[in-house]
Amino acid sequence: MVRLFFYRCGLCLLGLGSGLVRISAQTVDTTRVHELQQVDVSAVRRPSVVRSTAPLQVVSGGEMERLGYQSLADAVRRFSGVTVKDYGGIGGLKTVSVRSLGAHHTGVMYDGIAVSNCQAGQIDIGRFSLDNISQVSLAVGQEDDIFQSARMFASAGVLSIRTQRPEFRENRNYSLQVRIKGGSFGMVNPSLRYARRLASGTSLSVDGDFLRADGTYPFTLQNGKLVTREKRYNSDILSWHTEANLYTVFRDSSTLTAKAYYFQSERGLPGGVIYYNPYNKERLWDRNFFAQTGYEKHFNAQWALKGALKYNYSWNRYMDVNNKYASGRQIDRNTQQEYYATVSGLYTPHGRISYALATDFAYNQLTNNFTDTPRPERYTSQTVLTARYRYRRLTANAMLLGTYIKEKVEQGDCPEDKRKLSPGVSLSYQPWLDRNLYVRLFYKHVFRVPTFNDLYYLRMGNRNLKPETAIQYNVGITWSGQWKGIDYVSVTADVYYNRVEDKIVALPMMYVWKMMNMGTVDIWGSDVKGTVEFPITNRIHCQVNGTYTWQKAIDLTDKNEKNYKDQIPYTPQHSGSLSASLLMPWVNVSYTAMVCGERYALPQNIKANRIDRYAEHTLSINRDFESGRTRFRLQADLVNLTDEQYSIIQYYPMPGRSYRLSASIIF
Amino acid sequence: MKMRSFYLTLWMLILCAFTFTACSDDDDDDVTVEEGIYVLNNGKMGNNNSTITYYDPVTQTSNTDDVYAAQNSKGLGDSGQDILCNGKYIYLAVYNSNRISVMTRDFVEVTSIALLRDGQPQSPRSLAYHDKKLYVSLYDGYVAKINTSDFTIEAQVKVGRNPEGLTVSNGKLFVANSGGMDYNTPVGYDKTVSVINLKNFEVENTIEVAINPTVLTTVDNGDVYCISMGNYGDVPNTLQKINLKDYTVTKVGEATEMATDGKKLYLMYSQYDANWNQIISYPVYDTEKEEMLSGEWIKDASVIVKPYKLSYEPKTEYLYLTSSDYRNDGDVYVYKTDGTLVTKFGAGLNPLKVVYVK
Repeated sequence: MVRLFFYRCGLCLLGLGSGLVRISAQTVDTTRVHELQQVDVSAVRRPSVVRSTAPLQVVSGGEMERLGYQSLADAVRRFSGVTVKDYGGIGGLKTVSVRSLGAHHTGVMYDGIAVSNCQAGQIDIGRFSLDNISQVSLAVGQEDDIFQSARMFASAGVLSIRTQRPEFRENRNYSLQVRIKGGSFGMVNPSLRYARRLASGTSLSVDGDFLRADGTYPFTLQNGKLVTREKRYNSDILSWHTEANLYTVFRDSSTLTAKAYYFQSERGLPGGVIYYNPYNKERLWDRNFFAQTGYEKHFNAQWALKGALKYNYSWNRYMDVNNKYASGRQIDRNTQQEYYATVSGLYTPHGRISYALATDFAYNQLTNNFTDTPRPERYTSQTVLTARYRYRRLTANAMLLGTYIKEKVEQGDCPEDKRKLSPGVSLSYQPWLDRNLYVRLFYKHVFRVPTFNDLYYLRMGNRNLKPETAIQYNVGITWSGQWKGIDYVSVTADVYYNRVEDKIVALPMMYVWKMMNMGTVDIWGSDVKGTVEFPITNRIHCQVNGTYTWQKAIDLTDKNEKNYKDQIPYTPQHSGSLSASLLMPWVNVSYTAMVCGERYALPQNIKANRIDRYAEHTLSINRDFESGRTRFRLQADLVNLTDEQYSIIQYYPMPGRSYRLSASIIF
Repeated sequence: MKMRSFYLTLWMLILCAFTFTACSDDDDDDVTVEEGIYVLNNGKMGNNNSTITYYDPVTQTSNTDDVYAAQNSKGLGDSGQDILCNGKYIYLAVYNSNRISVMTRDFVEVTSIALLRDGQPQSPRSLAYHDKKLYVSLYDGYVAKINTSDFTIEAQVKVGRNPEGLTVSNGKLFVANSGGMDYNTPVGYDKTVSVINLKNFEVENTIEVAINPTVLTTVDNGDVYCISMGNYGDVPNTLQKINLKDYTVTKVGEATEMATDGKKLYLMYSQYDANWNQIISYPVYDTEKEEMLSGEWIKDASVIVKPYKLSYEPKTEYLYLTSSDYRNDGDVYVYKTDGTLVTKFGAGLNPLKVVYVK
């Protein structure tokens, strides 16, 4: 029997802001939690955020839906220690930076395999649909699971997106889910998900979703004392996403998964708001196809092996129409391809200790329509050796990653080969056996290689660039438990120090910008998260979740510069989020808030560069029905209900108050 | 008990953290506009932060509060590109905001001229004033002639691609056509200077120079000098002389920036070594003897680390060398023409040009 499982809680940590409200059957301190929520019943393993040696935050697809999150970026920006750069609107670029290290240090995994972009180096998370996501997690430093591909260990933080696996109810051989969402600014987003059991242990699912929006939203523009009501034009989007997944569990319990993914979009790029000049005709077309397959086998209690292959093709075309170009328009076309393979082995000589060795190989290439294009090719080899010790109250992990990169170019000088060793250690200790209190530590050394744009982009690229390095240190304390009528409480608090050296930045060279290794950033920060779940009455339950982040990220590049020791751009000192859900038999109500303090648009911390703080509130109501064998779900979201006029990136205004309705039918 | 104090501490922490420091410091006081030097700061493209800084050459003090915003309660816009003061008015071309701001001599805006062709912004770059007409180069390949009594656009004439600098000599308007927007397409840079006869406002000649010409200036004897920026690679920044009689072009040296007192060209030449370290020199060219003088015009070049633009201001008879790292507010270094440093003052982001306003 499927029923809602909600753990009851007590204390409201008001002021703590939000991210992940658990809607799961949560037993305190467990590493295996199965989602037993009514809508999406899936068996994705939910890692423990309390026992984890490094900060981990998890939100399920069901939670994101219930809290009225509009996009993946909307969910991720509520995590603590994270800065999402959102250029506004549905089609606006959205990138994730973990603990002020910059988006290039964040790895993005889609069903366990890295999404890469060698050209830009940062992943636009705006393109991922929320419709088929079962879980999103963000690990800072290193996840505890050592049985992973080498790429998983190569970033300062990993955003991992897991899609839903098919679930067949009542012994049916198929499942079908139809959903339609619609909302303000001409947004229409139907989606379809069909899954079929092909044989015992083998199932196939097909997902599709279509999105269109005019994106013409009103905003308030303040130019000194001149306040005008404007509209955001050229912000439309039209996109398709289709995905097919095959899952097989063989008789020997080994598993095989395969995925084919296609995404296509056309969008207007509204650009920053320019005073007195509303003209903008920039557009972008994207096509992305990838196919990936993975196999995993556990031979016995000691040995396990897994491997995966991926091919990725991505293409984009940028166009700007303006008579300042000789042909009246500028058209840039870029095509990237990647071939990727990974193999990892896990050896557990006995219960307490295990070792894993993973090796990855990737080939990347970029072609574009510029004159004198170097057509770069990159060969990357990454190997990681990890060890894990777990005995009673202690968990300890150690890793050493070796990277070797070789590039080839058709024109000009070839950059030097890059070889790097990067270590990491993490530890979690439970001081008292009868208390769910853990102390954790981690240290990790990471680096990011210069992207193809950094190295070769027109006259800006610099082939002499070295990798940019980052060192992370973290100390934290976590606690979870039950308390006087509270079903579940968890609190995690971490303090961290990071240092970025040889930061890759664009520096002016008298009218021409050049990418250089010129930057040192010192980052001190603290992340606090809390969750409580408690009953109000027998049938009404409440879940509250909060996060708070404090960050001091200062530029130490040059003592003689006016921004020496100034907070780096787009990094608020204070930010936080809060979410609260009331789960009632007839309707569920959720409220979420996001608060962000002042920050600066440019390196110098002066009044002219300051961006105002903002608070955004969202209200969401949903209800599930069941009629015979069919389930229905209705949801209404009121986003930014106070109509706060704000921007995350200066002059890229965010939408004001908007609404969204969605209806789903699940067979 | 222990747990309770733990929660209490946590509570306190959270409350402390959420107490945002409140500070409101909107200055409403008007700046009294006085005679002196005004610096146009270009700002950073896309940030609508072009500003004007005031500098008093008598007391040698500057005020970095934006004079335009103080007088007009709004911002100048995005990337102010050129400023000119003539007659009753100050004219300011704001490139990305696609307008020319016409202001009284105390920086109060009288009108704002938008420049549009085929529904597209024409994006003004440089200004020139001659015989009660204002001339402006437009990045879509035109030069406009503006009537300075009613501020209407009287005519536009087609020149080369992406025109930049303008200069008037002998009743002719010289226009540097850079073609900078096509540096990465097969079309490439432009390499011409258009000559417009101001009597009929028609292009009467097109002179070929080194690729990517951007800066033009006229000296006392009527000769026109032109700097071509080259391709920022194997073609260097070239200083050329345009002979007014037959429009022949002679290369006279290398320079990135120039300013003139009518007799000499004060130059700055910036190059980079293989590791992208900047190598800067400050040559000087005598336009009467028509030769490069030995040594540098600046006495101590080590004072200024990141030079950006150079202006000569005839009222004060000083050279104004600005500095910028493109990230922080810049400085302006004031030099006598003999190269001694008079003073240094703070300006806004990317200080571009100075004008004297009385």
